[in-house]
Amino acid sequence: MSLTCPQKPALLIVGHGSTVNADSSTPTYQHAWTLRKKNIFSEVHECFWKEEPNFHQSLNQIEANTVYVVPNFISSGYFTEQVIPRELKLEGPITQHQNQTFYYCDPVGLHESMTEVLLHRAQEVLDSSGEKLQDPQESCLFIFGHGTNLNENSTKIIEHQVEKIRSRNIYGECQFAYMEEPPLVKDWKSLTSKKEVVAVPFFIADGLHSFIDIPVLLGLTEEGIPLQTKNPHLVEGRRLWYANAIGTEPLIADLILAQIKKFNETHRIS
Amino acid sequence: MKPTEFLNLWLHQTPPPWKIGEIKIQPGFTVLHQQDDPNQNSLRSISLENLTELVKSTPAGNFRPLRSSPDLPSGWILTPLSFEDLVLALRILYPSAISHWSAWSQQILQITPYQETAERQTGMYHCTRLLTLEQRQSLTQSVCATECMKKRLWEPADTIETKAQEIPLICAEACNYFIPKAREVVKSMIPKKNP
Repeated sequence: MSLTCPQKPALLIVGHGSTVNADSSTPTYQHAWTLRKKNIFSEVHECFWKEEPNFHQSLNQIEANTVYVVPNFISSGYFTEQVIPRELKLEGPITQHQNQTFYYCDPVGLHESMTEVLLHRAQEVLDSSGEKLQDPQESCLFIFGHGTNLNENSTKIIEHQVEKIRSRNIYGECQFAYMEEPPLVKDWKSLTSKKEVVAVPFFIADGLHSFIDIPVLLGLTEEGIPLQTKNPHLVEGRRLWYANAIGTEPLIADLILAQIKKFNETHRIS
Repeated sequence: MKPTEFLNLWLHQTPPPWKIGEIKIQPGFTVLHQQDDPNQNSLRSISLENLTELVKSTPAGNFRPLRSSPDLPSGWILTPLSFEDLVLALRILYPSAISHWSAWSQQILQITPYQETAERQTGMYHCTRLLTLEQRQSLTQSVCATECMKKRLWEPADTIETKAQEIPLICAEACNYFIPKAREVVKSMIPKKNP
């Protein structure tokens, strides 16, 4: 008896995970369950760099002949370009290993539909607060990222999304800011003059950065003290709505499917 | 033979109850902690989705990054499970355990020597290739032997004692829990520069 239905491919969602933080892998598990319930794939697997099953281990578990590999990462870079291909023995977008074919898709964060996910998350944090923006044209949407001089791709993708959101004219302003490189999150009050601000952290999980570091940089709490106030936060006469990390948004499961669809179109796979 | 075919055959050929790690499997299928009695009324019936969350914490509520650490919470029951759901439950409880055991039993399991795993590391873990054999032996005692129920097949290897109704937990390669510990040991040996 085999779990593998030859007509259906398997899905392998690749996450980072953590050896110290339980929340790090939560979104990857959450999206895997969403897709498992859709019954599109014969098998849905998760694997992690820092948790079990690791990338290498996961290969032994997959029985289907066709495997879509989708990195649950917000940008391309060291992990998607070096670590994942090395550990999963991928030789390019399409890899044949004995009787299995692996299709290596782009990371979820690179899909064009991420714009809709960001806008949805911004609207959701407003809706769940029970308060409305007085005038969206007099407000600012911030997208916050980590920023690092080790990988410029992560900032490029945020700036690309900010450009797209600006062109929609939904908010009077759309800005980006980073934790570790200018424009800095801690300078948010000087980066916009708008009195109402919605901020979405462009992170895959609600970890230390989005839960603790950024609220401190925003002046919503102090080092070592969990965020106590609710949205909208009142800061020096401004109202600030701070959302959960974009990677926890349930719509990311749709982006995983969208990346597979895009891969099939690009490589003419029916 | 594929891992699930191998498991199915073994379940048909082996009298219950079946054991793996800290859990037992009963016909039907029912999965629960070996400490628990299926007739206990106090057992919490959980779903496979709940199980994904349950395995991430110790009984004290601390994060449990190693699924094969000997501190799986008890007091829950999964029942009744189809064979497909049993496979999924085992994948959540002990990732890769069935595929490793199946491959090992069929003598096709690839064992990765520590040095090969270390040579693959880049960035901050590049230094783990400098871990000496003596340091590795000491680390496998302090980390693997105390924090993990798997039997190691990379050097220094353990002996796997097979039991009739039990699926062994097998370690074929140094994991990403071990590698950061190896880095700590190597880093501790490098003299700090004077300011």
